[in-house]
Amino acid sequence: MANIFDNDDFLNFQENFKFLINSEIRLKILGCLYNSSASIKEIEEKTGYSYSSILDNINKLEQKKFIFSIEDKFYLFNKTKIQLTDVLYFNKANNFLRKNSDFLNYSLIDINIDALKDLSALEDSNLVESNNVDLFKATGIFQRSLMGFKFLKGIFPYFHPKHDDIISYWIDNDCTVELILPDAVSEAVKNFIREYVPKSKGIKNRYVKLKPNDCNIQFAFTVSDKCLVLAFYTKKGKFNQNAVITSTSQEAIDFGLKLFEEYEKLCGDYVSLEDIIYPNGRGYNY
Amino acid sequence: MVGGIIISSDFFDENSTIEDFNFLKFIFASESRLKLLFSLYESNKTIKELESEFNRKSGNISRGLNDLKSCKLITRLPNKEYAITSVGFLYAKNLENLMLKFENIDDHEKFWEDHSIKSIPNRFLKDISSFSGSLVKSNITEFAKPINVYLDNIEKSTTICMILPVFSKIFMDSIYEALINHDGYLDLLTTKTIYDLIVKSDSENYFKALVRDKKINYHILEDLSNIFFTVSDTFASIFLFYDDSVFDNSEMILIEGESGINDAHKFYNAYKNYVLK
Repeated sequence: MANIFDNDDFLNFQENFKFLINSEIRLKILGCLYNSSASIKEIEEKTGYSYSSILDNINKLEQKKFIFSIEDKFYLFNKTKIQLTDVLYFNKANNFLRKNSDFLNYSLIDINIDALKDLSALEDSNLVESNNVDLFKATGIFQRSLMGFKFLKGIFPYFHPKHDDIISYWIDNDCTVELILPDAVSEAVKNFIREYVPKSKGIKNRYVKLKPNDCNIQFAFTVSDKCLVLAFYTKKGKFNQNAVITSTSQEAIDFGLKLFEEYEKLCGDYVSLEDIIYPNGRGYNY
Repeated sequence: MVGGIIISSDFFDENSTIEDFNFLKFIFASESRLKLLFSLYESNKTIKELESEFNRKSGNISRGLNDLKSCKLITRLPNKEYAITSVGFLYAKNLENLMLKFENIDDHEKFWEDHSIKSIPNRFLKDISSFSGSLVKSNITEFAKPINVYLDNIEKSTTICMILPVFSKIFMDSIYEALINHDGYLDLLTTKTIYDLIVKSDSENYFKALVRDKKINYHILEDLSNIFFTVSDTFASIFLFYDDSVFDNSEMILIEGESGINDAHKFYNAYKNYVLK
């Protein structure tokens, strides 16, 4: 990675980037032009800066080929618009990191996961921590994320204390469940399902699938059509039950799906609910 | 006027303010800060190792390290090595990604300038800049090069996803052929106008038969961006329109390789979710 500093592309990037972000007035001019063209007078009205300082900076932006003019209107080049969009999203990622820096620095991060290269979707997320008046606040949120959805994907390291309610919800509802679980948890879930099914009158769900956590993933999360919940291991390798990061935004859910896709590829094959209930095939009563 | 909004939430996902840029300004204000961050992103190092790597005096290195430490991006370990923190790692990874995106756009600057991106929602512009591909252009000896390269790639594809704001019988015939030959699958986002043209031109009823056999799943949308985008198991491609909404088949960005194709699939799925909502 260090050699990125040796090439002209990086120097060019750094120079252009510094020029873009170092001046408040230039940023505001670019902001005015982000969605439509504008004349100097219109920029003056929108920003409140003086005509002369706008003109001076407009000239600089034109010289550096960030903007161009046709008659009295100024426009962003497409390249500028795309790159400015990238910076704005980078700032969202940065806002998330700044807001949660103490918690994240205490947590273990899986450095090999590609989805982490863009954390902008997590800007609106919230860190929820258990406290002295609500000891199970974080686990409660994790538990609630396991029910009331159309689809659920996730990785978790323990068998939830209220697993009866959770697993029976999965079986009795028309929802999709795809989970990556450690062997011991997976076995416990399967055993519960085998015992529960004969007692359940109407099994609606045949889309529960379990995958072994055979690459020792030290990270937990659930993503559903409703929300994303992230839980972390501490740097000492212990699962942190006392804090979760949550978000209900569609961007965060999409981010969670990307994350799951990556982990899914790392682990072994799925075992389906059908295989669990009917290990010897469906039979005539299916 | 100090501080305030740069881009309002009408045009972007939430307001973007001057304050959002302060941290970036701080990191970029010093070249050595940036270099130290990325050096520790690679591996833990002692101050001596950093001194010799950057050929700088220890005072300069210490100042940069202290700045990064005060931002919680790096930490000093008990063995006196400096290491990146979790936040530092994530920050550097996101910054590295930003640099790559800038580079990708720079690589095909002319392609982006010559075409219209107005109809592409702003949130998808960041995904577009992730694509690192090669530009395939018509030339005087190979006038239809982008089309030919596109059709060659379609021929090898099994699962295909398309944002289709244009109609071409040649494209559709090659897609039917690929689906039939490979027992493939097509997921299609298109408009009513294009759908009608597809059905009208389908004298052999391939489209209907493939839909019936669940080999084609299509969604008709009222509004589709002017981007002809394809991603399959073997490639992805982007064709755009000129500013006057005229389709340009003389230039195509071709994306190959697993990582690019994965990114293209993610883009397609995110776009699909967005437009179907």
